[in-house]
Amino acid sequence: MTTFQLEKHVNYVKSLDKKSDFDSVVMEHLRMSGAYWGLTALDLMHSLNDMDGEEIAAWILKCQHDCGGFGGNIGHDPHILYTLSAVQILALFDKLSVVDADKIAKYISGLQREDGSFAGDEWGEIDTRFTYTAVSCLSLLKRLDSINVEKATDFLVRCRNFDGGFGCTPGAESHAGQIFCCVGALAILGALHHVDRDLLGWWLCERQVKAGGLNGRPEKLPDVCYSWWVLSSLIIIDRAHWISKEKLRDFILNCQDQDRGGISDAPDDAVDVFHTFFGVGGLSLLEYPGLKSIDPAYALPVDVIDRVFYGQKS
Amino acid sequence: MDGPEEDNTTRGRVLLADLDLIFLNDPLIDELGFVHPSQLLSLHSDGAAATSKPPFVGRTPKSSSLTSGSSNPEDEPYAHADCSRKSEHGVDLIENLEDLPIDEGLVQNGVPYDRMAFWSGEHKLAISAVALAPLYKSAKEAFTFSSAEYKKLCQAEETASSAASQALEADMKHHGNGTVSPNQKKSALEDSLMSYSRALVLVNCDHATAWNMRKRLLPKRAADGDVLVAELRLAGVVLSCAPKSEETWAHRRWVICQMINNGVPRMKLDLILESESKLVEAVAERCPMNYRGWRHRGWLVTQMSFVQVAIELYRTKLWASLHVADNCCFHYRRTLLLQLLKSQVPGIVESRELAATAEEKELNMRVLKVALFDGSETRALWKEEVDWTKHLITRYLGREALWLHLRFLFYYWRLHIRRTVSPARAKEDPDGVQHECDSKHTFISMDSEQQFVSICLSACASNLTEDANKQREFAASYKLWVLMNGFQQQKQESRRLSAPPVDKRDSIRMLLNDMAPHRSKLWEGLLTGS
Repeated sequence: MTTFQLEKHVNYVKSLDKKSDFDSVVMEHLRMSGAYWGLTALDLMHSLNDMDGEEIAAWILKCQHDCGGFGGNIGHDPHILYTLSAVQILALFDKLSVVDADKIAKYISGLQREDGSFAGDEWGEIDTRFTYTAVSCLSLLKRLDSINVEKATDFLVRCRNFDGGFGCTPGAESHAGQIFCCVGALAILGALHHVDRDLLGWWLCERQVKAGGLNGRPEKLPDVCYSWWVLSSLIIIDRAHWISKEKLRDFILNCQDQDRGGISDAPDDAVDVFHTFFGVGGLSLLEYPGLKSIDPAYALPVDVIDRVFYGQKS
Repeated sequence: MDGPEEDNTTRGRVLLADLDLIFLNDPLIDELGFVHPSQLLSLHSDGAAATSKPPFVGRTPKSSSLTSGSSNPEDEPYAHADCSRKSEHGVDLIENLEDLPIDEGLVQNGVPYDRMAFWSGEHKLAISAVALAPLYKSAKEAFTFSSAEYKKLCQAEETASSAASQALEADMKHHGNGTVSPNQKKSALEDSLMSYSRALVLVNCDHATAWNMRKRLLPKRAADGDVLVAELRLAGVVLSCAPKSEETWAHRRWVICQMINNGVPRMKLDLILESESKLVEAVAERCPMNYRGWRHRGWLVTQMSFVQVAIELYRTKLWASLHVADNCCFHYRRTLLLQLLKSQVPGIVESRELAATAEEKELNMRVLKVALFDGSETRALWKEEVDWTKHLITRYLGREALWLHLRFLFYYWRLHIRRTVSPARAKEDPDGVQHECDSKHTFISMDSEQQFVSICLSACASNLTEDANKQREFAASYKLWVLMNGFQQQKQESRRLSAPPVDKRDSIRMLLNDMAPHRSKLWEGLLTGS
């Protein structure tokens, strides 16, 4: 059986910050999310201490705008997605106190629409991903009371389809990534009774292909990132025992770059930080030995969540 | 600063200016490709015939439309490869190419742009992979600098304090711009920012900050609608190269909302929505199951008139039957069907803006009947969709998208439509369980569906292909779907699946484990509720 190349993955993630090739340059606009993926993966692999938290926090603060929101990098416009990534990274380093929680909460609550949905930024695009982002971020900051929780829940419920899944807006096609966002947000809001667990569990289990990997929608190929989106949703609704976990574990392990580290979307493809994080996250959900446990709704290590909510130091 | 870095900076600035020149010369450019330098050379040597070759898939009609034209089936293998931004001719080649010599060859006839970096003709634009990095770097620097300048000017204007504007004027005099007024400077900066942001989004489709700057500036320039039409065209150019770009699809929606807010006439809006829908279809041809593209198409439905929705349903039928594995298209049909059902609720048809008069309304209804199902009943609409889906299922074995569509059709018929269409035929017992008393009169019942499953299973009984294996799995799971949805508590407000009656459990369990043993845990969980 293939084993998990922990040390190589750690070195791979650490090497990313120094890259300056063209591919990296055109990804600069989402560096905040890239940092969250990489740093959370490192923490799950017990290697966050190798990183300079002070320096990273200083950079994060430079990405914050007067409105309270964060950009994906210095000089980039604020967006709710990067605002969550910024807060998540600060939570990893136990540095949530360096930001003004009320200011961030004001930015996020300002993005809620009359129908309960959330816009991603001032330009008004609506997506259930932004609802998840708002809910998760405000929960970490203990400011959920700054939004209309009831309306936010109603909007999520309106995005539910006949197959039990959820899409990005009411009526949009079910998609495993959007399902994670909706189920994760409902879990944080304590509103999982709106989910038909058997029906949604059925749809999610049908994402597992015979070879063991998970796809994100019907008729698609398996991809490592859905190890996260699908499995975390199944765990939240308590239906993970309906799939073959062993086969899924083997699929993820087969997507490792055995020589240089990193995990790709499918076997023999090029690795990247996004799939490395979701591969490591998926293995953590599968309770793979040597990895920290990850919280399926917050997508942060369980000890970080415990520290945020119960003040417990690990 | 001297050396290679300085050379690169200068080169970037030249490329940025060349790009402006190319768009000035041909504002109707509708397709973009990143190419290997050798491909660029062959484009230049082939002249106009080049547009039928990679990286281009579309031929622009002489009378240019909003969309990028129809796709050429012969180019399909390449087009699929081009679905990802990292195509084989794309940006991932750059690392290996940096040592190639770059000469500044200028076009001798026509527009004097750098032939080692660009090719343009027939409303297409090709950019050499080696030119992308210097072009992007220069565009980014210029954009960052000008954004900051622009912000300063706007702030000075906002505060309207004479001190601030005096300081600014003094600042400008100091830089030798004594004759330029703040307004002129602002307008020049706006022009520059439109140019820099265009270069940025062409190279990096998801550069939201660049798209946002355009959203800030466009309302100032959109006095005539052409500016917004041109913006849709630019977004189309980006999508031709990056069909999955979320920011670009979102930008299109923003532009269309601007048009609506500016009071675009309904007729014109209908045409825009129609051409948007065709654009998504053209993109879907090259890049199958593109969630962000189909999401855009679904959004269009929310803006469409009743008649347009009906026409869309009619039109997508052929495309869907040629793309039976494209779940997105079948989901789109579900969106259209539900929208039509919603429209049939009394009051909604009447409130539609399009049907301003009774005469218009009648005309709409007539168009609908002709275009759609030759009859005004939901029943006919549903029956046609069910029959068509079953026909496709028997013709194309093992297509998950088709079986899911059938699940939808059964589910909605049972739970939402049947009762409103034929209430007399549904008899309820005191517990609220609907009995199968109407099988003779309805075209989709628990009996009819179980029969259909049996027919499908026996049709492929001796077929050992993977497609037939899948067909058996989907047929068996559809039977479970029918059983679990058929016996549902009709009075229940929020719907839950209910396990089949005990006497049916053993036979369905055996069937499922026979046809899809790899999902035995799922079947056990669903049947026993654990």
